[in-house]
Amino acid sequence: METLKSSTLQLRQLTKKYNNFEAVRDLDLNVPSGSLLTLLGPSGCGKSTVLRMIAGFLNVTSGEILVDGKDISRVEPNFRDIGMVFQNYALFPHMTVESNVAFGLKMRGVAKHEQAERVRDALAMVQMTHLADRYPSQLSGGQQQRVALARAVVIKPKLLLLDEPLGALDRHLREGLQSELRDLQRQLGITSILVTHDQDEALYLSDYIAVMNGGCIEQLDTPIALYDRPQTEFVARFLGVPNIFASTVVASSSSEVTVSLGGQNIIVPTDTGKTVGSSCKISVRPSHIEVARSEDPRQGVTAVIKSAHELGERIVYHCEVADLKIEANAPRISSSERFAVGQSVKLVLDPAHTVLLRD
Amino acid sequence: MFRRDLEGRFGITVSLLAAVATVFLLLPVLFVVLHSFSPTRYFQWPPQGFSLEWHLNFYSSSMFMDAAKNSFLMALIVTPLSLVIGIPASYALVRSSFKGKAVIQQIILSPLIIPGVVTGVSLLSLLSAAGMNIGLFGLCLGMLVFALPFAIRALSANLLGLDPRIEEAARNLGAGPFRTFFAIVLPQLKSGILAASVFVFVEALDNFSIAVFLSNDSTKVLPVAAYQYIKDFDDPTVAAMATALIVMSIILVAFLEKVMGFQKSLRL
Amino acid sequence: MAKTSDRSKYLISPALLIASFIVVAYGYFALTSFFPKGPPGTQFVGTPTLDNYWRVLGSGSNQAVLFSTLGASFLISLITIAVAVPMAMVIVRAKREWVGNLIMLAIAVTFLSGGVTRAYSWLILLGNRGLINLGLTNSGIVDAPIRFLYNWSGVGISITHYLLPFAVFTLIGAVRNLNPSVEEAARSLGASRTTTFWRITMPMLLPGLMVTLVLVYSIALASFLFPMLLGGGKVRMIANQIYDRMFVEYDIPYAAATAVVFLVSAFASIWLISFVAKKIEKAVS
Repeated sequence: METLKSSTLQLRQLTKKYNNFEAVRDLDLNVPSGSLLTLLGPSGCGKSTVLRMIAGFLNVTSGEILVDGKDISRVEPNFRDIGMVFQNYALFPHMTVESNVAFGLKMRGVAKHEQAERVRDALAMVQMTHLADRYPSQLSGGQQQRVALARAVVIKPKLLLLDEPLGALDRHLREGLQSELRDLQRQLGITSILVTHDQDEALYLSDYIAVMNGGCIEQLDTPIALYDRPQTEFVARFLGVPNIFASTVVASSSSEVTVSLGGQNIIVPTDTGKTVGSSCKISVRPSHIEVARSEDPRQGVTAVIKSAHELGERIVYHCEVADLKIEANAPRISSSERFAVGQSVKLVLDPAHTVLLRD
Repeated sequence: MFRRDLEGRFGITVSLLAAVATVFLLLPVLFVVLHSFSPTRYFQWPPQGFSLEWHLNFYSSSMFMDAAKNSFLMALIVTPLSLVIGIPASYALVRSSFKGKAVIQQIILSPLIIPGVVTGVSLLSLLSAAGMNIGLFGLCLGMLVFALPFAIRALSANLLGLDPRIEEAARNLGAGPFRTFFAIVLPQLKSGILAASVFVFVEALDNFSIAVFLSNDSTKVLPVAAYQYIKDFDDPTVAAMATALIVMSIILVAFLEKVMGFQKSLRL
Repeated sequence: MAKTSDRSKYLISPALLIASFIVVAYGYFALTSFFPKGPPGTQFVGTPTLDNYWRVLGSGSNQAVLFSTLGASFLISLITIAVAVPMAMVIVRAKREWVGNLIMLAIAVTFLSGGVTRAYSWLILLGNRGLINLGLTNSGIVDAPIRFLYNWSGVGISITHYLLPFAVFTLIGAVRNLNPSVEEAARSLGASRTTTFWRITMPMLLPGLMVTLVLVYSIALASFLFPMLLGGGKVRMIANQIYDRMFVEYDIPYAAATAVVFLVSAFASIWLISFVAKKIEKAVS
């Protein structure tokens, strides 16, 4: 299938209110042409509301939805030209796979022979040609997902919306389909919005991830930046960072702050100046903490090992500094030094991945 | 499925009770069929032979045949009408929210709760106060009021089971609201429509408490004719009528079973 | 909410027409009850009065009919449920599926064959020389035939039979929703099947039983045809009273007042049953 002419999407001051409850508040977002942006967040954060407003199933309270610069927020859903893969796929149960895929073309009055050709191509693209005559109830979950995808892209939409597209599948199947979905999206070059609560899925598929909380975007970043340097406590917790420490600023300069961690000072690079004495929060992933001998000369925190577990590829250490609990991981390879429970060690925090969280 | 607790003494007791209850349930149905072939006017046991007299009597009685004609005509008017009103109404009740929805729903469904006699007498009283000749129109109107809740119940149950995202998918792919309704919703409502039709048809044919108020000599329906016959005559002609209705209901059950599985249809 | 539903609410309009007709009909009939009876050909005349209500509530025979309707309906509903529970259990849990299907088939055919058919059949079955009495006397269980007709027993049997399909349909859902592992747990802890049934299954089934009770009770209250045919004028329920006032006494306001009293007491008793049911459910759980 040829590459689609891809569009840009901009959300401006997008707001959705239910009575007094603001499900989405003043949301601004730019999705560059051809990229896949994920709205990630827990249920109730407003991500589905945003998606349904883009699709046209929810009225916008205020704000604009610009596709290629044109506001579509008042356009009926059937005139928006946006493809969507629904949660649970929403295939038409009374139509064959082929008729499902052809439906959008039929609505657009595409000529019969062209319809047949495009349906054939779309089914070939998702490797479903051999099941064209089946009904949705005769398909497995993964097969239904492919049909839903074919049905959404066959109309050559300006945007592709993916609402938890892999949520109903079991883990094994999901991983296979993730890579297919990603390849297909890249190959078609179609601007896409994915909604999910699964961070692994988001990290794997996305060009950009917007983490949402309470109707707002908490952080918009590339997957790697988001994983390594979550900017707020909410994002850090949502992405499963166990080490989030409350601390106080001991010294501050234009490029770094010194904070106290269990009574010991640590330097954290940051460009947001902080007043000395103010409280702050620090986040660092266990894999960014090196467990070293206590006599190691590098800057670090001296701690006592409380437990050590060898888990698959990692060795997980739970350590204590004063009343602070710190988790650190080391690769479980033969060259790694093993530390025993009760041993005093130095925890070396990688400065590039130690983050002073925004308030 | 847990299918083990019907064993042992307890299981046998439960099964026996269920068997007795089933016999109790089927007894009048089987008996009335048997009785319709009785050669004697009064019940006798063991049967003294086999006779078609009462069936012939039923099918040659102009009173019963006119009543049958009226009944089927009325049911054939009421059934499509309750679908035409019931399908859009159920869609609105299930899919959209608006002020007073609950109240409207309660009112439409109220003939299910309010005894038929009260409904019948109210309709009769209003129509005659309005100076209307009851006739076929009044009968059909009364039966529509009575039968519509059955249609709406079956259709709503079906609609509640449909994923609204399927309709959204159709809108998303370019279908307008009407196209979505006819191409996507209606085909999925097949079983609900079928169940609703059967229920409305059967209830309209069988209803006595409203029909007795709203039918007169020219629009007399089968249950009313049967009642009057039972009061005046003492022979099994009504058993012949009952046999015809039972055969019809067996055909309907078989039809439902074939099309959608009758267990499913009865659950609606 | 959804865009599509903004306009779909107007689809209610035709049904709204029917609904307003219903409101007007019930409303007009209720209004009638506050006026004196008019001369032949009219429905009511004169100024509003509560006389009809005093007539309904004041007479002992009226009260007797009201209370016997409520009481008999309740008793009949309880009996119906007792008969329906084993049927529902077997339909859902019989090891051989055809057993359940057979019972369902019996219910469906009975249900669809209609009320008049069944009333007539019971009329013949329950006669002094009917099949039931012949069986009872021939087998020596009783010496003389039992009188079933023209008293509550025949009416009760036929109404129970009429209610049974409704009760079973409703109970099937409740039995299906039981979590069998709770019963299995009881069995593994040493309870016999019978103990498990009374101590575990029934309490879990209670909400379903209560819903069924309210449903069949409200259907039983409305009984009209069965007392009319099998009661032979001796057993009268309120529906029959309303009918008589309409067609025998031609007193529409009196019929209307009877209907209003009937509805109020029906709803009050249904409310009372639901209220007690909730209390019992709370006490059990």
